Amino acid sequence: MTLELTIPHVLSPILGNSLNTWATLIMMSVGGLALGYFLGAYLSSKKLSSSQDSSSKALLVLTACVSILGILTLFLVDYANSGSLLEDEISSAYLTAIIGLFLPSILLAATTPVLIAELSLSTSNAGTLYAYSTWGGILFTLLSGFVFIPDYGLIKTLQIATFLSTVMLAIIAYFQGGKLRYLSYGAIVVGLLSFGIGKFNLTEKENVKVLELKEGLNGQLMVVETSVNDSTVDRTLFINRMGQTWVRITNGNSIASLWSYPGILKSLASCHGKQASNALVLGLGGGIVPLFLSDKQNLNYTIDAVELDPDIIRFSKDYFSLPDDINVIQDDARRVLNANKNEYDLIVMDIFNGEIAPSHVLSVEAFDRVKNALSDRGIVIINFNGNITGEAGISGRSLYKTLIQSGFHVQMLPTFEEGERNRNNLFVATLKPLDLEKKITIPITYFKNGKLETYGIKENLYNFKNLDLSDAIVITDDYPMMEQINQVAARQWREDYLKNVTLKYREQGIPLIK
Amino acid sequence: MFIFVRMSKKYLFLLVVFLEGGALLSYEIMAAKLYTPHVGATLYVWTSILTLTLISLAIAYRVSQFWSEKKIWKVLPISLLIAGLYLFIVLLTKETVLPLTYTMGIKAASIFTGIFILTIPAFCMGLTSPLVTALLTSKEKNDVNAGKNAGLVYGLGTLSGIIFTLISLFVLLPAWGVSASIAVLACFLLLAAGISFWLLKSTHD
Repeated sequence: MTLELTIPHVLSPILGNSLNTWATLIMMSVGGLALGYFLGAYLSSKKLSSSQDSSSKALLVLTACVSILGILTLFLVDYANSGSLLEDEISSAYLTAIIGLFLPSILLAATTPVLIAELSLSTSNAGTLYAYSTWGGILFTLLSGFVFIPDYGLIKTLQIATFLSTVMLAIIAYFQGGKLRYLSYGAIVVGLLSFGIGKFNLTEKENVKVLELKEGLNGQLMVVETSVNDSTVDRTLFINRMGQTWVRITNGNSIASLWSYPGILKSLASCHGKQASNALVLGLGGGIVPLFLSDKQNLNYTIDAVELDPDIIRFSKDYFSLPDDINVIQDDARRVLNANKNEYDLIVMDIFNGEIAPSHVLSVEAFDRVKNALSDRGIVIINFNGNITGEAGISGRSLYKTLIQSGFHVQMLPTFEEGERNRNNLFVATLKPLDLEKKITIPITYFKNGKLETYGIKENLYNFKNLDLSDAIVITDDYPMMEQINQVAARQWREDYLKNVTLKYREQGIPLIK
Repeated sequence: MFIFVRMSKKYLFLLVVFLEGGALLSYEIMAAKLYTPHVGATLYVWTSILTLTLISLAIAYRVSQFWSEKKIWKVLPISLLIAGLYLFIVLLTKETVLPLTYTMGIKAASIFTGIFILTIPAFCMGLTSPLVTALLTSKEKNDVNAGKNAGLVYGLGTLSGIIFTLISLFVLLPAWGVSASIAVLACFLLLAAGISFWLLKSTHD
């Protein structure tokens, strides 16, 4: 169970957190268990025909192999922090999964039937043995999920799992008696030494600094700062190595977003002008959107921001200057919508877990809750990936179709960046038609060739008339397909980050795993 | 002929295990989809699913020992029947029961949801493998085969879990949605209950 929880987290900086990744890794684990049970059945049936010692030897070999695989996995994970074993990073990650999860699952599952045969247990006591095994699984699931991974990190958790496997080997060897007792003592020594494997010893280069790296609720959280010049730094928040917030901080206090969408979102939100208004921001990240909306010179929002992960809340305050007057609610966005009794003039949905767009917040039922929370002049702004055409755009088209099905009037404004793969799309949903260009009070501006240009809304609003929606699907709670249909777009995003960020950071001394 | 009939009954018991094992793992995955509109999709959800399923299975494995020793085999079809019917009950009552979690903290909500969705079916399904293992071994009148039968039964149940999960996630869910997929699993459990009931009745007859 420790391996089942740890290995996917270890691999998530490379493979991500998508449904396909989890399904593949769970199949490796469960497939390994199935093969292991059959192997155990075969090995225990050999006891009937050969000597008394055969199942004892089988147990010894099985547990020795698990220990060796554990040590090998630690070396692989440590190596991954500085380089790639195979030419392709993703293949290296799956190789680690085979050695660290699939093969140990086979061997560990085989031990129980062999143990049953070794102890010549009756059929009713076989159930008791499986019960004890399951209780062990429960204990270590809770310990790994709530203690080891959050408090000690992934490498320490893997070291604990490796040590436990050597303890298993030690117990079995000890009870064999004779010279095998020396193997037992040796196994314990090796297990203790394994705590020395996997210490990353990379040195960050001067202009790159990891401000914090830890395991959060949804995966690895990291804040990285790169120095631009003496008075300016760029600071980025990553979840599973996918950038969530990217800002430039000048003179320690002036923050500007290096992505265009927060600024455009602020302009769209200015349609309420300086009228006192309530805003709900779902998904905090580094807190840049609430920070921009809290501009008291041009806007007048009282802001509630929702974020599930307490570490992200802390990061937004410690590293991205989230203002104190923003009311942060620590909870899941859909739960907040379900229980909400307030009315909002602006609801911003900026919810990504790494590259994953969650279905349960983008379904018809979720949008019904959003509608109930909107005032008569309320608007909803949804930040989404920039794809709308082709295979990668099916999730965008489905989001549009779902919003229409929910009864919204929908407009979509792409951000400045060139190409669907590089930009964001901001969906603006209202209960009544809204002329955005007339209503906004903060124009959208950007620098091009050193000149300040205005980004006209009317000419840049996406024309849905020519969009083929025949393959778009309506997302519902009973049909939560957003993750599946967003896979192509999510994979593109992850590939781009792997190439342009994750591996470059590794070259600059930032470890993949801690 | 007699050996053939006895072997056929063994394979039918294994079919029961195949249906139950498949339903158990794929229901765990589908249960996560039932959680998310009410509790979200976080580490708490997965920890709750894994922990409550394992606790239910552990209790089932332990309790099965009592029934195995007393050879109260009728527990097998009854538990599968309860599991299948309970899945239908979850589908019919989830929109009434799960909103009760909105006023709870997220961890308490995850545990409450798991208790409602998972514990009873996981316990009932968890009885199958140890009872079938005990049944097969008692029919062979040879406890030495216990390890072999345990490996075969648990291996088959786990293998079918993989197959059913892949079918549920990549075929049933995209085609029919969460509720219909769970209903299909419930039907498999009822089928397994019927087969095991017939097998036990014909064995006694």
